[in-house]
Amino acid sequence: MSNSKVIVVTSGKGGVGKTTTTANIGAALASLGKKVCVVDMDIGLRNLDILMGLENRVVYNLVDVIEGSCKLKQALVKDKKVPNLCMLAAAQTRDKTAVNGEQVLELINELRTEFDIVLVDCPAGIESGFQNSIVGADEALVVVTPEMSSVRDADRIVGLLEARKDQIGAVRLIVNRVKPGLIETHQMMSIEDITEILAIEPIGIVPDDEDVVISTNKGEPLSLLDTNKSAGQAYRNIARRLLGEDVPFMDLNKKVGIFKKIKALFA
Amino acid sequence: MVTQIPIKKNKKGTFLDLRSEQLNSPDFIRDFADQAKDLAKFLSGASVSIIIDPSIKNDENFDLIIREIRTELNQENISLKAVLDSFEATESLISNNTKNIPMSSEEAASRSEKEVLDTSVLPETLYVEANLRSGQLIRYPGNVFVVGDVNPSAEIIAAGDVIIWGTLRGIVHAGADGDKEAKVIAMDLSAGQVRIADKVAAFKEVRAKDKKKDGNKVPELVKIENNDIIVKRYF
Repeated sequence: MSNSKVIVVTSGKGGVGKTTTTANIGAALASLGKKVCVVDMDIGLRNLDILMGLENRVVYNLVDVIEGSCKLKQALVKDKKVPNLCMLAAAQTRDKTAVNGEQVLELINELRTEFDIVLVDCPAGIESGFQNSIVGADEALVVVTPEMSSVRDADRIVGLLEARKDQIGAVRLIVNRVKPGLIETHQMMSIEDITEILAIEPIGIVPDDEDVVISTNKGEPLSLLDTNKSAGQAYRNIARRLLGEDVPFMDLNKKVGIFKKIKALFA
Repeated sequence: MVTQIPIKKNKKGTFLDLRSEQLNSPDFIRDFADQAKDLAKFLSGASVSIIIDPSIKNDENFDLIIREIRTELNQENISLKAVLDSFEATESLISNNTKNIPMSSEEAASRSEKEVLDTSVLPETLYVEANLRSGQLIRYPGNVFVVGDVNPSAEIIAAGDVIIWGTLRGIVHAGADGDKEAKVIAMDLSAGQVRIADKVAAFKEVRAKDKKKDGNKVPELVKIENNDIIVKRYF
């Protein structure tokens, strides 16, 4: 088959930023010239279309494709700004039981022939929605926020992903909503605390940034905006690392010594 | 009618898949006695692990059921090595990463003298070389040796001792069949809870502060002394 890559974005816990991460990394990869499709597997609770600003253009969805009500091409929604970025929306009127693993695998394999990278936005939880999301994945990105509850759920997810080592070659970590100030005063788990427990390789550290909320509400992924502001830059860096580039981790807080700690960790 | 139990075999051992069996029904054990006789035709003298449905762990008679399964197997000269729940992760962990360290005869001898509630001699030590992650469970009727970390909400329930060559953050129950002499040793003991026989010790908050103070990680030993769980430096 083609040398396309299927990457699942997952976390276990809800509300840690899976969908935001999917939208931003998808947009960043597309703006780097890759043909990208982002797939919302959160059937029944779809959100990705809103973050991409494409909610009004969705006609057919993933369940329609799987049930044969339409062709895959008809259901793919092209992004407004980046022509080589497509989205496949989840059905909102159905639930996770509307599809099964074999059907999803067939769909993913069809997407492989069209795209360089397929990013799958996984629902929260470890039930059928999660199982269906990882069925065709070659790699996984585990999103975690610096909280014990998020880390514990991510640990569970990593365990489940590691059980499929033969299929999922790389499991990498994205630490989201990092507040360097709080880490400095020991009120938030540090990056080291998290990686010590999870024992997987980090591919990105995304600072907490209110622009994320603003861009989410506008339906414009932050990583597409031409700013050097922290979160958008962090997503672009993750996209470049996914393509194999060696990008140094950002200086999150120049005033304090946190960067030195982070740098030391990844040196 | 007695159905054949699915047997899975790989280079790490033999597994009996009991996930589709009604373990808590009274018929099961009666049928299982017959099934064990069948199994003995080609498994006699071997040690096997059983895979169970995780929901049965909540059954009030769970320990009794496992004991009866073990008794039936032992009668056919098959020893029960481990009980695994059906989570894929745990299954692959066990099948990929376990080797067995035979107990030294000295150790085995001292074991058999002990008043363990379940009077069968403990099987070989289970050797696990992996990080145990949240939600993964090892239940084993002997000693368990882990090279790796035991993360928060991962669980080890062992009839014998548990030794962690790594950081213990999860839950460990040593001497789960009632052996008060059982002990837990960890390179870095950061657990919230350790159980030995019928005793439970929860000590997260106090210890977190102590750890911050000296910052040194030393191997520690948890055991029962004067009917209380105590923690002390291993050396």
